[in-house]
Amino acid sequence: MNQELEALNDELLDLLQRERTDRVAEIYEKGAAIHFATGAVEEACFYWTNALVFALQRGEWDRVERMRSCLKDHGRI
Amino acid sequence: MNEITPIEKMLHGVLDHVDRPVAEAHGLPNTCYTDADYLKLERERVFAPNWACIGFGKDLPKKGDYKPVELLGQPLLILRDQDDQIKVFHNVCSHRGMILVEEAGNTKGVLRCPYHSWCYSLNGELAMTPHVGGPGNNRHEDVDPKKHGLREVRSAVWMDVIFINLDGKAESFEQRIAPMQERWKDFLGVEVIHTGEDSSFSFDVNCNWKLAVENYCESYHLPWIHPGLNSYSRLEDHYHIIEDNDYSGQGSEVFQPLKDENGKRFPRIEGIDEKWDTSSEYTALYPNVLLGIHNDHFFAIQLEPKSIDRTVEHVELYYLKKEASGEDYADLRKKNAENWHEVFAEDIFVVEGMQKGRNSEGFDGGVFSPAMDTPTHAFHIWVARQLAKAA
Repeated sequence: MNQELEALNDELLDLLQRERTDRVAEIYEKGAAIHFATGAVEEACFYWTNALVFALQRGEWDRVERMRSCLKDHGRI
Repeated sequence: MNEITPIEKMLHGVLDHVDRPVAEAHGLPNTCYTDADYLKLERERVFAPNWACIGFGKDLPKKGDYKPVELLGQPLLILRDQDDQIKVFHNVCSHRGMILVEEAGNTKGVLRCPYHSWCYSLNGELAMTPHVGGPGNNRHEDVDPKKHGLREVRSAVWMDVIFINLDGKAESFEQRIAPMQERWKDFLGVEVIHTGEDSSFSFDVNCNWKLAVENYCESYHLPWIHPGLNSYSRLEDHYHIIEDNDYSGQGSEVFQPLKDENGKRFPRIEGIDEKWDTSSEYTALYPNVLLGIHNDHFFAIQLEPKSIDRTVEHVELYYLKKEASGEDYADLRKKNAENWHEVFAEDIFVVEGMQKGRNSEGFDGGVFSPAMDTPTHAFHIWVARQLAKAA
């Protein structure tokens, strides 16, 4: 796993531990982009789905639509 | 009138049969080795109320790592949390009972059920319930997240071995491990170092898990089954180890460290009782973990019962000094793993042969040598007492 992703995952764990979910969807989306850029579509879909879940939770509707679209493009929803 | 099942018949007399002076005792009857229904009983009475081994911490090196495991059909999930602590949960979503994870991995934040995307934090709390209150509504007043987290199983880690108490009612792990810890107090606090694939191997064996315990904890078979080992560690160099209701095994007074052609050996730990200069000990910690300690390395074998007549033995070797994990010890580690692999492989035909023998109408538990089989008898007594406890 590249260092950028490791840093993102550490940040995710830290935020979730502190129940600070305000930036979680954003970070998952970033992680998805990194995976997608390297051709790791399965991993990207995992991150997009988590981003979608957290975006839904916080009512980030633009992100919800964006994540849905990414997942739809890859036959996931 | 209802007919008495073989298990009921066995339970009726098992304690009286086994729990008596060794010279008069018989071993556990065949039902305990051949009857698939008996295995369910064993899960309830032998595994669930005690501290059983389900894996090793080295398999979850990073925070957020998880691994699904089963203990006699119970789907469980081992997880390393944000505080670097191992936790064990039932591997099932609180919503509709979907298995949460099927393969080992890293949570990358949360455990998300693949069915409706309910998410759990690393401490098992239900963190997200998308659309639970209808589309776009992620809360519902009747679904209280606090009530629907993952169900945690009592767990503890000792020498990197992960133990669980499935029914949650056993004595504390500290109490449970105290006698073993007292025996090996010289190794208390020593970091056990696993070096990866070169120190792991497993055997898929066609035998009941108890036969692996029985064979492991006695030295009586060494001259015939382990000629290589016996060439320097003879039968008379061994002693029995018995801690009633807890563990049993054997020790050798002529431990010789493995050396390469230049005489290099693994670094040993210093400042411990001089007994360990030449001794090594091998104990079965009931029910299902086999341990071996030497002044330079340690091993643990998880016996994973797959069915009444099939067991997977997971062998993990650990070193007691960090230097031994370096590249300059790679060849010696490989040799060490090969040596132990050879020794444990020599036992397979015996445990599989005993399993076949347990189908014989001409045998139903046999007898024990009062001089040589006391550690095995101690294990049989322990099992019989567990079975009888709830009878």
